Amino acid sequence: VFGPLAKLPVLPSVLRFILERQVRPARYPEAADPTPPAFRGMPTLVVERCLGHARCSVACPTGALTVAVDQSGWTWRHDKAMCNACGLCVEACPEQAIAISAEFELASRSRADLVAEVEFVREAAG
Amino acid sequence: MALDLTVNTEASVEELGQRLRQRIHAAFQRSMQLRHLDVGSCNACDWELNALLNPVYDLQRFGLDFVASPRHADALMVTGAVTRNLEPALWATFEATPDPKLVIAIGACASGGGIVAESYATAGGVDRCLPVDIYIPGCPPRPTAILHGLLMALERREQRVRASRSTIAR
Repeated sequence: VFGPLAKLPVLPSVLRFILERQVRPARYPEAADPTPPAFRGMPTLVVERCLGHARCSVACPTGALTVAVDQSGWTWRHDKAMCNACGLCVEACPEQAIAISAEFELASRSRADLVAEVEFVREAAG
Repeated sequence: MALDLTVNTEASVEELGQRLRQRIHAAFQRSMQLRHLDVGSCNACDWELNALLNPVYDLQRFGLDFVASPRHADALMVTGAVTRNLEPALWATFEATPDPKLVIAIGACASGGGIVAESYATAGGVDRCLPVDIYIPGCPPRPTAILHGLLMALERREQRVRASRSTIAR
């Protein structure tokens, strides 16, 4: 085929190119806004893996993560309002007990709601 | 009536967007005006606020917009951990905003001090200086996270308007 008709096979791709150049708005809040693959969210604790080494609280640069250890056990405390989501706690944990969550709808009415606390009771030795 | 913030893929975009716009107009009789206030931010949160106005997030479709003066504002969007030099500016802006006003702390610094925390030079969070209505944590929060907080703020504002109307009626 010669002449103008020769351009017919590329027409769909040309049309697609023109259409895809338009900015597609995020449909949030009507639909979920998927987090990008490189998104680094807040740390969450995998409760059954935590052994109370408290390495995460040492690594935390802002003091958002604290582990209070006493005779009976330990308390893992994470303050989302102070957390910079740097991910150093994930690297510091020898048990891989801290995971990064993709949750981003974290807005809150009160400061207290932003603090997550997990209490651990040490099993009696012997 | 609580604002339903759950994500629903079934309902059509136009319907839900329309409902949201109706709620804003019922509470304000106009758009909701926001004033961005930087009190020692690193500019990450400010860029995320900027991104809200681009065509991808398109804040104005909800009847929300940024204004240049606190006297025109319904809500203060505060970023940064309130440095000593900017604390008087924070107070002046808060006093210039007409009642009923909302204070929204955006980012880790504004909501809890973040990386700078409390020191001789910073207050360590907006709530050390002003009553904060909505905290949006994140370093920085995503534009959609800020949008989620704004929708929560809208609900709060509706409650305030209802409360002030009932006191006037009395």
